Amino acid sequence: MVAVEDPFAGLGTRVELVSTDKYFRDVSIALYAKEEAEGWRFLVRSFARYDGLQARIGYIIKAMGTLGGMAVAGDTVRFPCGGQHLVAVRRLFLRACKENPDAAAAMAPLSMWDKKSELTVTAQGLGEGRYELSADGDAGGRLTALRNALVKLTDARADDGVGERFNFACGHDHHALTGLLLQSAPNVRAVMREFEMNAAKGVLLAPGSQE
Amino acid sequence: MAETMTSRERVLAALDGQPVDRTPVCNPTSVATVELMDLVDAPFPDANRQAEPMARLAATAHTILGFDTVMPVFSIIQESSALGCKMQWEGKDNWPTVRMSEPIWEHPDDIYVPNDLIEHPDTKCVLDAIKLLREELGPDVAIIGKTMGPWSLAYHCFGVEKFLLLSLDDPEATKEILEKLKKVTIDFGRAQIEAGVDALTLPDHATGDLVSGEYYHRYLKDLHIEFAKAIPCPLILHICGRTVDRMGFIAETGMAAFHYDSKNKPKEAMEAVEGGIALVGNINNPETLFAKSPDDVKREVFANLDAGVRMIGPECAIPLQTSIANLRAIPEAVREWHAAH
Repeated sequence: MVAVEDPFAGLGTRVELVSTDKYFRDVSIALYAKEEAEGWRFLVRSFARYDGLQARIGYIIKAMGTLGGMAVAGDTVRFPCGGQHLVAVRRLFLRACKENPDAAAAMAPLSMWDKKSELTVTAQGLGEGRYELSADGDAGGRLTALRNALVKLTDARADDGVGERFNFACGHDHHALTGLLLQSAPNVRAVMREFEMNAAKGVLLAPGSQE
Repeated sequence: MAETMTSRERVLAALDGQPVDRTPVCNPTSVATVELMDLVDAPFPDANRQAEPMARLAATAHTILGFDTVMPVFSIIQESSALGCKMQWEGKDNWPTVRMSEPIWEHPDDIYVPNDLIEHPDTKCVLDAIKLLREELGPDVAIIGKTMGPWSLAYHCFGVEKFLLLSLDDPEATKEILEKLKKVTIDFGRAQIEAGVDALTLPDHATGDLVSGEYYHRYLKDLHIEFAKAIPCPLILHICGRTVDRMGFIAETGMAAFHYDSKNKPKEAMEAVEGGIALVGNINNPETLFAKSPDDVKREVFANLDAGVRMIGPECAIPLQTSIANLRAIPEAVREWHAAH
């Protein structure tokens, strides 16, 4: 039997889990969060012991750095603002785990083609963590809908006075994160459904409740 | 508070209604998680079908989580597989299931329980895992096995809907099925005792949402009394859902404990059993253990201890993605409570 020490000590709180990594031997990879003097630190961790696992973890960390504008230090990442941004970092982690490791992850632009309005939507940084959405045509209420979706995906705050604006409570810009999640904003329902399905997986049902 | 008993002594004393140095932390059902599977290289489905990974994963309940018990039968399908049910073994992060939409039997006459049931690879691996656990953990940790009751086996072999309809339309045929299937429960239970378990969980899914208390009395109470006499070790009956309406009957079966669901409040459950049987379980899985914080877990543990529940543990097999911190909060809370009382 494998002798085990306590590998779970001091990791912080687990905030997200990929239970089977499709790119590396179905290992489970988790994101742990810990608050330290300089702010929130996130640790990417797997407890499997396969050769090559550290390279896989390294790829995910690097991808989080690129896709989310996080600072990388060893096997940890943190936002430059030191904030937690819990919903956003969970989404970012899941996205980083899905990136094809055969290619380097690339930062998403602050604009995207919105199929529904058939317009290009852009998020413009206004400084101090404030953003405004605009389109290259008349988008009607679509910008407010996309803004609200972004607020859901990034746990940012909606500007009550201007339907196209939102801001991060930390007061710092998050261009990379905003660009990444802007791409998901049109599909916010599917993204949230994915969260829910992830949460429901692995729950044992009594035989009478199984299909 | 000095702990003067071994985990095994503590669990066996609690099951026997004797005094304990502190309330034991027990898992009558699975506490396996995907992270624990990685840690000891024992992923599903291997850990459901091979003795060594099964034992390695089971041991983590004690070595990593700090529970007083280990329980190697993570799933509820080992016997059904041995009976010939069509199985879906799934991968690492999901539970194996019986394809109940493709039942193997239609009539009581179809039932065939092979004499070598416990030699089937999916039952034998359980017996071998129990032996490995006893060798590895020695005499100080309580090993709990699992043998499925005939009501659950009937769901698997006849299909849930069909069996429930039969129980309405043809009570005699229903009783015949249960009578024939009880041999599986007894034989597999006895084999696990021989392999080294200290107690057995006996799930029999007459669940609160599908079966009434009156049904329990009519179809299962006498069978459960028979199991308590025929299987010579403490039995822990497991039924999911709201079951207060049958707890009085369950308390009269002679079983040692009832593993109860969070749909029942600890205090009302204690009142319902009137001291006739020990209670264990109740810590909510899908909301608390899976999605809330260690402090929330501890609050539920305290509620059980305040009510006088004799053993503490999750209500059922935990979700495979449950965090280690939440599971460790259970023994931590028990120690904190005892330190304060």
